[in-house]
Amino acid sequence: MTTVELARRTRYRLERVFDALRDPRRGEWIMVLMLSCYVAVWTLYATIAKSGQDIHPDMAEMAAWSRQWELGTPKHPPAGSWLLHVWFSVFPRADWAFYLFAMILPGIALWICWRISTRYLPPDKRVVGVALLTLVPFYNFLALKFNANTVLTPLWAAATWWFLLSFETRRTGWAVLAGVGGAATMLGKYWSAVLLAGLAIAAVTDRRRDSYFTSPAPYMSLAVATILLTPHLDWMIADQFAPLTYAFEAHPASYFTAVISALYFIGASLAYIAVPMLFSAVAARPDMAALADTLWPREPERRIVVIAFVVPFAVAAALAVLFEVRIEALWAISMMTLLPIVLLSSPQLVLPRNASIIAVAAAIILPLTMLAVSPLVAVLVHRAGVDNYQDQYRLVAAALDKAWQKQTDAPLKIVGSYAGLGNGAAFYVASRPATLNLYGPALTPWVDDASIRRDGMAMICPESVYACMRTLEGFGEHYHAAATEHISLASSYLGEQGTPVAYEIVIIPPHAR
Amino acid sequence: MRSFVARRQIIFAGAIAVTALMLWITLADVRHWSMAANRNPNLIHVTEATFGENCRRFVPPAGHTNLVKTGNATVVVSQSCDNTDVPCPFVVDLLRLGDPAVGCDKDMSISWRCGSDRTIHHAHLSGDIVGRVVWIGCPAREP
Repeated sequence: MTTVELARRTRYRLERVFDALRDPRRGEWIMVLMLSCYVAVWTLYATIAKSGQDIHPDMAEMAAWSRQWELGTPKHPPAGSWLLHVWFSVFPRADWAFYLFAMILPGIALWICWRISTRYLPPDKRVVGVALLTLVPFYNFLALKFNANTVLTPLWAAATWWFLLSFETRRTGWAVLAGVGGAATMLGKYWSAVLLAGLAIAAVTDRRRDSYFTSPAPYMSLAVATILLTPHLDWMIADQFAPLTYAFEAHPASYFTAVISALYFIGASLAYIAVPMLFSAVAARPDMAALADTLWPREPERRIVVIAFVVPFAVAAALAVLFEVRIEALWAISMMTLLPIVLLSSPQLVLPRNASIIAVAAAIILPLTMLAVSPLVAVLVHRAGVDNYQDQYRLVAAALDKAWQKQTDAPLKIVGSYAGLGNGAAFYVASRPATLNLYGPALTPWVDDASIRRDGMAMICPESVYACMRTLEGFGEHYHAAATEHISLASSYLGEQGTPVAYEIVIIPPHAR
Repeated sequence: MRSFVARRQIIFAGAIAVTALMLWITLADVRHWSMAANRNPNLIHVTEATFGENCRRFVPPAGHTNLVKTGNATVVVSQSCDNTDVPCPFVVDLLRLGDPAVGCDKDMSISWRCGSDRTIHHAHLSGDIVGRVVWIGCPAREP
């Protein structure tokens, strides 16, 4: 087969895929199938590319929080840990299962984007819109590291979808769902306040606002959200606003650095969506009228989408400056649901068929290419090394288990270390232990003095980390440790040995004095 | 006109319902909070933590400002140690605390209470303290 013939056949197949997706009868199911494949391929990529390392510390932290069913965590509201709790009650605690979970979230968000765009885009632009979003790193590379930001991607998408439907139709069902969505986003991360502000401003500035605000819909949404948030609010007050304090205090800045971070946030967000923006600019070659209609549409149905998309960025930047906090570009991960509609909904913007097929081709080729190079990525990452002992969590877990079993037949229920290492190792210990943060026990409120004395604890620190070693010795002395071990661990990947690290393990047996 | 009045009534009823709910939450939480302090006599309550009190009058090198304030470390120490009965080692870490007086060897002082007892306990570190550990706990004694 010649190259020309191969190219012709590939193009023919891509055209068939594109036409099938545009087809109102078959398109819905084919999109679900395509997104399922998308999730599967990226999961496989992560499983292979990250096979030389263990789960990321952020994921390990979420896993540690998910062990308990709490109304909040020391840093964030509870939605992420709840979802993970449910997930790992069905799936095994394995890396592949974690990556699958992480990828299902953007998969759902992409499907919601597909559903929202039904109201605003013709079939060919709907297909292109979703295809372009899959080229944004928020929906693949960055989504693979599950944390309190990535959990917002589907939650914001759902809340936005249900709000728009509630605003347009004012039906009770959508109003209730809009309330559920709003509450869910706030239970994901307080950062969601910027989304809710965006949606509220979009509603207030829309010329159909009288119909909306004189209907029961907004009050129903507000009431449902309030009721759903009540248990968490109650928990937060009882816990002296710990996650809220974290939200403001974890990213301190001066006025100047807050302004810089706000500008960087906007600039980096634009950089993340550069591919879809460049694509629509090059493919559609919009004139000034089309650009104006894209940025400030005449129809209220489209204008509200632009406002709901843009205002959260403006609110985020304003809040950063007002409260003098540093905001991160990665927090824009959940803000892109409406991007395809904003970019492509102008009727004055015409996408040639060829360009649309190229977008679909890129959306299919990118994950497959990454899957093909994933073994190489794994080797390169192993050679470069990873931070936070991330390639040793599994080894540390095995060493802790072994040292523990030398002292007692009881199951290991508490692992003590500093956050990254302790959470990472605990994920791989078969008895699913709780973690105690040796640097701050208040950050692991599920472990108290009585549980340490009753269940005992296995603690570990890298010997080179002075502060960790001091806390290890202090706890060992306080709880009358039974044994101390010095070990050296080195990860190995495809026969290549990593750098050895010396650790000290201290065992406090159950029912210590 | 009738429909307009009906809508207004629905809005009013909704607003009343939401306000009542919020009031109920507030009252429930005030009660919850006031009872919480008495539960465990060994719970640590950080009252104040200051990093660099001894450098209050220090003049930092050009381009830096002296940002030492009483209580500048209270939030950070509270995040690590508040509301736990496990002995709490607070690691003096510039990444978490920031450097309020560049060029000055800062001390660290932490004050805390135990449960509902109003007695204030104190711990103090001075000298080259970065990376060192301050232990606070209830009953107040170093582990």
